[in-house]
Amino acid sequence: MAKDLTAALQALTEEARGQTTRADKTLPAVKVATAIPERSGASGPLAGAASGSIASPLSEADFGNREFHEVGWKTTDGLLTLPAIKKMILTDANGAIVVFNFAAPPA
Amino acid sequence: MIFAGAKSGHPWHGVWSGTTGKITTPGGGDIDCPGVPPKARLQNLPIHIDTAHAGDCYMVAVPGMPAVTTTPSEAAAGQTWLNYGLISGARNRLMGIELGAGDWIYVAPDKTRWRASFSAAPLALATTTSTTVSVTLKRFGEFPQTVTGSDEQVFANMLIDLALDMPSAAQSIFPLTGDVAARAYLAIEDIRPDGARAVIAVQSELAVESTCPLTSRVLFSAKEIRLSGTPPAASIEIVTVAATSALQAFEINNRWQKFRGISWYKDIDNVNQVYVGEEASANAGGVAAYMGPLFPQIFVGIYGGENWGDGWPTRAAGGEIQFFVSSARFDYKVSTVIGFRYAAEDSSLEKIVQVASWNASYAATITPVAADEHEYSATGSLVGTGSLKLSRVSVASGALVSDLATHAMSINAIWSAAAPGTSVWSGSYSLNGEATTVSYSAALEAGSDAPSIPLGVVASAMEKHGSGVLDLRATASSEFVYPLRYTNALYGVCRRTVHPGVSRAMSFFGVYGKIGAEGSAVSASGTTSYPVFCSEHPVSGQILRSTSGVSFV
Repeated sequence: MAKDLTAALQALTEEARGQTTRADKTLPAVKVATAIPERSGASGPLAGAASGSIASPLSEADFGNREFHEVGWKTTDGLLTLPAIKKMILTDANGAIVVFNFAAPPA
Repeated sequence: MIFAGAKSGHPWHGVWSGTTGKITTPGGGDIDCPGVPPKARLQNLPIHIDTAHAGDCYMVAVPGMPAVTTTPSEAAAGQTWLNYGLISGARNRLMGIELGAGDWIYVAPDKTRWRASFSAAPLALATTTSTTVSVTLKRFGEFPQTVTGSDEQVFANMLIDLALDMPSAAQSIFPLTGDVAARAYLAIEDIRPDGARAVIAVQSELAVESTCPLTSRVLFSAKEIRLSGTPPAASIEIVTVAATSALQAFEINNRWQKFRGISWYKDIDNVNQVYVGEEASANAGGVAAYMGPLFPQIFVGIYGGENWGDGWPTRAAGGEIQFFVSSARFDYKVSTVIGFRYAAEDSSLEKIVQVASWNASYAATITPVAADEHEYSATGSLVGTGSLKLSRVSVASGALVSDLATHAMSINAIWSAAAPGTSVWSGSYSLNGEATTVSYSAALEAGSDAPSIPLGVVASAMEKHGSGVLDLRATASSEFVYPLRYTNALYGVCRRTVHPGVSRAMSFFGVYGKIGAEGSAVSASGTTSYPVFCSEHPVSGQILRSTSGVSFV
């Protein structure tokens, strides 16, 4: 105990003098991370995917299934009319049917 | 073409320059001209090129298209969004595509667009005053997925009468034969914005000046193509707008001349005597020779002395008699239709009429001298005013819509003569505020007639020579004003001075469009630089004038 008290007293005395027993240290250099090689992965169906999520990519099986609005998309000068898509049917990566319904162009 | 966002189509509009080949956009920048540029020539003529369609600019509008604005960023990118299209140049360029000189866009009642292609068999006026025309309507601007129904309707080989109801007249300036008739052709005058109406005209060109590319023309008649309905059930009519006889009107308000008969004779004692007869009114045959109803000219001219075979005084033993014009009045109005166009206000058809009017008086005194030859001294004066107008007149009602321009004319000249001796005319005339001082003298032999007055203003582009050959009147000393069609919208007049001793560049007076006007006179700066290329924007009315090709696109 006496030794502890003595040591404690000395520490307080040195601190009052602005002295310290702490030795400065530096952190070690950060190790350079090793490169991660390219790789591909695969995942099975996530639980609950069929409840609404669309799995990319979407693919169109048949161009002929596209539907167009009867009234096309007019150029600003009214001279040209482009076909305005009304409906596209796509299949997502899970094989689920995804339907796109497009708005009619302004008359 | 831009197909993205709320605006789509062809936004590359502005002023095309034949010098740079670029389009100057309203935003201030120049852009490359997409596709083919507007063509300057409608046809290659044997003597000169035809620039009268270079600046044609037709609006093609689909009813009900909403208004559109161009944002500053779009303008900075050279874009100008319009809710209509512009057909430009002699071969009808639309969106960088050349439709062809006889093609335009017909907007059917259901707002489908159809490319109307007009063609006519070459005219052969010497053998027939009719021709066959065809109009084909092909679906335009509809991509396949939106097309239903037929793509084409053809009105083939329709025989039309060209309404040439005067060319057989002996005095006609509308010849069936000769160079001018051989060059006659059918071409579009103007197209209504919906394309349901198009005026076509039988016409032929005349050179204003051998080195000037602009042509004046003889307008023979006008027809109108009327389309209705939607192909393949559309209908067509081709009706006469103006026959040849309706293109000119000649109104004489006052026409009289008075002659003084003077006889030089020897009496029974073989002494020289003179006898001054009474003034006599006469039908102004001399005036009519200059101003027959088929000659659309105003010429301030008086025939000189005219030998007269009757009227010897009593106890005359032979001699000479002349009749001198002692006083005359020229008070005429000549109206000449120089073109047809659809009004910007309501698309009604109007005709552009040049109205030249003149009211001048001449008075002279003749003092005969008793001598072996019919000698005399004389003085005279010619004073008058007139005007040259361009006017818009409704085709439907014949009523004046408005005067486009009035160019004032006046003349003030005196004549003195002594035979034998010299005949001297001096004085000045003015046209459009620019005075020209002239002096003309000619030797008078003993016994010669008084010379014609060599001063005048010819308000025409043509004079008939021989059998059906038209040419510009280029004889004697005269001031010529030519009515000009610059484009489907723009009309004006050109001045040419051919007085000996008067050097003046050809002057092109103001041009008058459907909406705007550029009223200043522009002189040619040289024989290779004539300010004859013009164009009017069919909506803003802005007018371009240039010595090189220029057109709104």
